[in-house]
Amino acid sequence: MASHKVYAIFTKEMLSLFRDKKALMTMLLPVLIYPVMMLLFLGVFNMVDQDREEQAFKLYVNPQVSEGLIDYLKSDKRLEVTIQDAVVANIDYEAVDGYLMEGPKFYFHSSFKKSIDLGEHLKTSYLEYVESTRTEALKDLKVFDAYNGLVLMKQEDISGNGDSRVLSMLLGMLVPYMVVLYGLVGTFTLSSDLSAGEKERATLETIFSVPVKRSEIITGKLLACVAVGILSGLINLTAMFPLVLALASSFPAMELTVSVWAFVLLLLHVLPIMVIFSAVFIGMGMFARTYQESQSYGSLVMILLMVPTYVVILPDVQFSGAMAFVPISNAMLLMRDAIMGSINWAQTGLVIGYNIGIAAIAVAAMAWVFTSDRVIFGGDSA
Amino acid sequence: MIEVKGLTKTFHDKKHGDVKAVNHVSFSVNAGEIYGLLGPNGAGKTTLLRMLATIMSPTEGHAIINGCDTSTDPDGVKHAIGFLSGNTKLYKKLTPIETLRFFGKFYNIEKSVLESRIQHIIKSLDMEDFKNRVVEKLSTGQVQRTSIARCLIHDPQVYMLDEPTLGLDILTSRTIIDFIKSEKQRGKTIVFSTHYMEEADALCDRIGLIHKGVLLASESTEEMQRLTGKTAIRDIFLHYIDSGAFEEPSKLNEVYLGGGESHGKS
Amino acid sequence: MKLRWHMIWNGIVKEAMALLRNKRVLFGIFGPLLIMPALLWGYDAFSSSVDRAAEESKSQIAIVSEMPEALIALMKKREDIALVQNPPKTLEDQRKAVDENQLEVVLSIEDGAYMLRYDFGRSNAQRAASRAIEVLDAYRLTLQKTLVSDAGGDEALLNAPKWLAEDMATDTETARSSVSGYIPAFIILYLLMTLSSFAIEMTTTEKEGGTMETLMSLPITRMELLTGKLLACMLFGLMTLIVILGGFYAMLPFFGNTEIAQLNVTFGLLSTILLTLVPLLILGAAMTIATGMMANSYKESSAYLTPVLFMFMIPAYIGTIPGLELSGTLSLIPILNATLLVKDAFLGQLNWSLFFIVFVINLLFALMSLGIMSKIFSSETLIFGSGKELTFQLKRGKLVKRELLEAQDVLIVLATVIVLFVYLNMLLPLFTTVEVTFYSSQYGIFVGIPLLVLWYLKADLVASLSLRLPRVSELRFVAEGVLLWGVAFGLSHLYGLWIAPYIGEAPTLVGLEQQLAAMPLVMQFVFLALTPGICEEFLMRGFALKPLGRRFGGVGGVFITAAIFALIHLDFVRLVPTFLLGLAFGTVTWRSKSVYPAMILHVLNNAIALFMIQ
Repeated sequence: MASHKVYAIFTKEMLSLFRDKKALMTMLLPVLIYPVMMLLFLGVFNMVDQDREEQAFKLYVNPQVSEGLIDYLKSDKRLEVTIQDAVVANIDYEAVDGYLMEGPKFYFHSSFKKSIDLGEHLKTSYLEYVESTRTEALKDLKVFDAYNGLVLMKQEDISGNGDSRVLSMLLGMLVPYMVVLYGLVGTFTLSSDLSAGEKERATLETIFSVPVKRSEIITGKLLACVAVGILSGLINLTAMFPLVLALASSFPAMELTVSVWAFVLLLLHVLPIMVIFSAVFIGMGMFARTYQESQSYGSLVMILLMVPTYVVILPDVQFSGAMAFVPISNAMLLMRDAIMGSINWAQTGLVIGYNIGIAAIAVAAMAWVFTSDRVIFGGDSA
Repeated sequence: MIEVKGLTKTFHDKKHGDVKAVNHVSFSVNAGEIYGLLGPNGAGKTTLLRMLATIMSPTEGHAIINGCDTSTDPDGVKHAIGFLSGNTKLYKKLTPIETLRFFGKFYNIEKSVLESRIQHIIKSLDMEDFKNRVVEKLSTGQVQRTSIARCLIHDPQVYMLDEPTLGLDILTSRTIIDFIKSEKQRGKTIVFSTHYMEEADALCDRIGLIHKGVLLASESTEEMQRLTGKTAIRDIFLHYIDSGAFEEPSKLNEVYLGGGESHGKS
Repeated sequence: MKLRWHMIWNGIVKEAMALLRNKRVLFGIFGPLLIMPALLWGYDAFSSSVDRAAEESKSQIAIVSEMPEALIALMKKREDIALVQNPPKTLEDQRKAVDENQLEVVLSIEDGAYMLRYDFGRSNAQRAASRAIEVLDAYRLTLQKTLVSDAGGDEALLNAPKWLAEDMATDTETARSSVSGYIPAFIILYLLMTLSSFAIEMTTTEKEGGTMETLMSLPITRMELLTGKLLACMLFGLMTLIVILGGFYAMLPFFGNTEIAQLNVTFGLLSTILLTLVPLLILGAAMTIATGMMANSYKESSAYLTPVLFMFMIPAYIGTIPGLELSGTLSLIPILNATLLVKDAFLGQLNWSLFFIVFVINLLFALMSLGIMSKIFSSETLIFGSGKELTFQLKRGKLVKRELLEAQDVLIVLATVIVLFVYLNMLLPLFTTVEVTFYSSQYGIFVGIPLLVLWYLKADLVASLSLRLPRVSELRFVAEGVLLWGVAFGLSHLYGLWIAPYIGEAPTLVGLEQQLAAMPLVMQFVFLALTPGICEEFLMRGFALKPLGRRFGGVGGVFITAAIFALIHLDFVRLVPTFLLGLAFGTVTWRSKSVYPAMILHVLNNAIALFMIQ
């Protein structure tokens, strides 16, 4: 295989992509939009949260509830307490947020957010009330201090830096997910053009008449797709960076230690995955007759390929025997672990090797498609 | 220069079963000749040319082009030919000069030689004005010239042109026709397919009539006129169609040997 | 404007046939229906099994100091805790052991307190720690009991009655509120996707295939063609959405989703959702058709669609933020308001005034997009796709002088003006006084913008705005107008009396009552009577009426301007009376061909209302 020929094809594909302003916009627009979206989300989220902190509730309390508790509740400024013997079934949750009976038993309605919030607030208040009465009694028994000194507990992160561990966990979930997912989308977008698009424009015929091997053409296209996928993932990741920094700055005691190896491993893991994606999409694209067709069918395949990437979002999924054999997921889990600081070289080697194997199968399938005249020339009459 | 031996291409279609797009076609082309493949739509011209250009692989048969066998040395064939398909299929986002460089890289040409050749071609085809403009912004005529330039880049011995004047007006088709003529002057061999009867008649030294995947033995126009007793090429073609020569390839010999007999029939 | 409906119907039928035979489009739309339920179920099953495995896993806890026997016994009793044998003693070794997953929590006693050390970033460690804490809590309880009973107290002191809570929501209500988190956004986004698929087929693909050109050569007007495409797009979009939702509703229970089965989808719920969707249907179809027309190839169209998709996606997603509820303010933001409205519908907390505002705002945006769509569809450059870049003829120098504006321009401007008016009234009060807000919106927006537009488009001001005094011969129309107004005024008064006991809390935009009381009477007159009288008439009967009347006929023009006039007040309660007044003002303007009578009547009308408040 002549590398200069492969390189020529690769350059041609990349050049065509970068000159297509509209395609570039499609790829870069999310990069611009997502930070804005995230900020909007956080802003609204905070606003909603704040409102919830300050909201006042209307509460019916059955007269049978203990005096002490009633008085305690009345002293709460956020509660508007009405003593009432209400019929549980007839309570209108638009007019009142909940009904407390002796027990204590609290009646609420989960369709009303305020009602749920009142429940949580009351539970806390009740526990505080219980605490305060208990404190009284303990003080009377003169054992209050001893009581409070029983089984004191402290929690500390074993690495010494709890906040950064939490951040690492978040990054461990987000970074592989974003890189792979955006890589998937980027690859998909370009692949249709490289296969179905060329078929539609009939430029394949010309290149086949030129002294270049099919394998060289395939490699060039594959490389272009993989490059675009990785670029896409990295660009989106970089767009998230300022946001992450902003978040990190709100935790003063944070020092994030993510080793360089983690990034190296990230790339090493991502490469075979991108090859798998590219091979699948380019191969599929050759079966379609038009660009549109390959996009329609391809988007469904894309959804299917997204499924294994979600495994990294579930915190309880660990890298294990069974998971090691699921391509893409296995790499995602190891990437998460690497970002969180634990790198197992043996496992890494095995998984990368395994994924390379899967990639090789995908590429072989794609190569077969490229050598099939029927697929390429699609049943054209002479 | 070109020896075609029993080229066959069978397509398997779900609905129609096995279809022989090209059916045991054999012919030869001498060096420096312009050979025309003449036939209606669906005759098998494109498939035949693709097999000759080693774009497609035949089901049976092979061809020898400039000493290289299509089945054993496709690369050699590719080096020897320049292939152009009528709809001037170029990459939209590349400029003409980039296109030439791109395609040039695939032939074993030294970089400096390639560059000077590209410059020479640009000058001779009058492409200076638009050599740096992307293909999608060029006019049909300009795209046409770029296609021809692309074909010339490695100075092939043989040109294979698939319906080069399809859908072109008189001026743009003149460019291609002039190109064909000037290359013949330089001693090159040209094979081209078309369904424009008169054009084939005017340009070609010999013509192969092709229909339903079957090629009739190729002769010069004068020969065919003598054999069939018709003058206009379209009448000659229709004569052969009506005589059923294309249905039964074995009947071919009868048609030629018993030239006089077949007159009365049909 | 005549629309030959049989031609439009023909167009719709042709689009239907083309789409039904298009396997690719059908696959793209119904494909997800086939795989999503399976995927969701699979994912659910997977995460449940992961959760179960986590629950059943044993937490590895290392005790590295001397601990009370009783505590260790409690630890050993728990099935889900395993005490590590020979745990590492140094912190270094402990860290390594945690890294290698040999243990999860290190429990020690330091300075009289129990110290739990673990990796905050690992969920299994968090689970182990909470289990250890449970044991420690149980141990503490035993100590507390001993302490209290030794001191002579009653152990019952430590057993406070448990807090119980009962959810009064029915199964249906629970299912609905659970679904309300994501379904509204899902519906809106899926609707947009189907609309855009259809829109692209009807525009870009037609252009690419060259059939657009053929269509243009037929005896059908561009408007009829466009209306056919718009209606077809909306119709198919809606039908597809219904089929998909129905499909999910039917299939999900088979995949183990019991929630959906308990939804009890009533006719009321469905019709509320559908009504909410109607303006969005128009908006989505118009936007995507406009986008499709701008593109020359399918690839280009998906590039242009991306920002449109985001415009829908962002507000829809924001609507899913838990705790966000529809309010007066939020009901003014398109798409977001619909998401929240549908959420409220599921929760059974629909407020009809808010519904009305949401509907109107979305309809306004839909109108704007219709205007844009028709403008694009009239551009020949775009229809025949010369492949060059998109340019609208916007340079003033190149525009021709004209007498009146086109109806579609007027509609676009009207919709924009109204939206700006509403938003200005929401934002400005945050920064300045009510008076400044009011005057700037009335004079600045109602008067200023139309003037600007008329000037820029080189329209004849006097003719466009009907700024002429009525001729003597037309005075009888003025008298007629006064009569009509009197009737309208009386009717609205009666209406007010009749409806008074039925109205609930209707949110109003500007709380004027306090401000009014503070003003001297003259200023009250200027504020409440003079300014709105002049400005609103300027906009509605001056700027809008004549072009609309020219296009839709006198009756049509009066009707439309009256309707918009009524809607702009965004007050459900006063809708009908305002409409009647609008009819009166519109008629007198149209008949007398002068805007002044309407202005005077409007001022008078408001002055009387003001007087009655005193």
